[in-house]
Amino acid sequence: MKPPRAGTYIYHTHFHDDQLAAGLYGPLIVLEPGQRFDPATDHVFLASLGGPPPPAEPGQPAVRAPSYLNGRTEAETIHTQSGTVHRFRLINITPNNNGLRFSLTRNGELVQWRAIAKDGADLPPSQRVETSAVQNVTVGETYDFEFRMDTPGELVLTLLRPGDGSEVKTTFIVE
Amino acid sequence: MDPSHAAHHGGNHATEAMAGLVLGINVLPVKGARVEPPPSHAAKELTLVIRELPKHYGDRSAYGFALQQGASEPGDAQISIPGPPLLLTKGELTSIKVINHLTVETSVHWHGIERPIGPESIRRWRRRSRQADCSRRG
Repeated sequence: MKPPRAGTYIYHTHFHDDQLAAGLYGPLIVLEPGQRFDPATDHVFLASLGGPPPPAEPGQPAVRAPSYLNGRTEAETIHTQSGTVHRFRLINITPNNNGLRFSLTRNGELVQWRAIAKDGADLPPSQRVETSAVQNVTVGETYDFEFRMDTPGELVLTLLRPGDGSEVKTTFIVE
Repeated sequence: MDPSHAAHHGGNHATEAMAGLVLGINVLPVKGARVEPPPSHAAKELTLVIRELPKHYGDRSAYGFALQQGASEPGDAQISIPGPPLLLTKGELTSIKVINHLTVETSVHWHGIERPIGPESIRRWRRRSRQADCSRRG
């Protein structure tokens, strides 16, 4: 294979009903020649389903497996320095959770981030605009946003599954 | 993205959906144009191993990927969910060998990579007896 474009992509099985929920997926990042991937400022946030659906109890509704954010359900903390520009690569590779919502907040308020790419394609300058940092991401989509950590304090990236209100968070401690 | 994408993600493409009406289009170079032969060796070669982790989700198994580092194949401890980030470079010919250690067949779809339509795009790897089935994609 010879990747034709730099951007954020996914690799995954096409056996969706069992193998995709069981974990056969991952991020596929294509870089420009000479570009270096720096995990300190370049963040992949991959949403998936945390396993096959648990067996339902007799007479009870089916239980959904939890949402995974980078393979976890627990909160995570990342320390970073003010003045650094960060890239967020948002991915939804659940089998069927259409309306997953990512947001980035400070003190509970949405910050502004800049859209830079969609489904691996860089946005044209006219579309690289600052918007409120909330984005619905449906199955198979990727979105890239850029954000400058200019103020010391805490920022929280949240993955929300609106269907049941469940959340998985990553907190950035900006020093 | 078309919302119907999610709906068609409800099944198993590899066995149920991607069959039947498929149209292939060959785009040929302009007559007389010089065509560079493809390089014989990929600049980057990766080996991706698929393993089953029994009783990972209660009584259910997990399936996961690991990227081989060095000469030895990664074991269960190296399997991660999600799979490891694959870092590729635009325009760089890359070969990814996939080794399927599951007891069932599987497939891998690579977003953003232009491959010929058909089995080259989404390939199924079937394990036969105790021999892992490997496929190399150049």
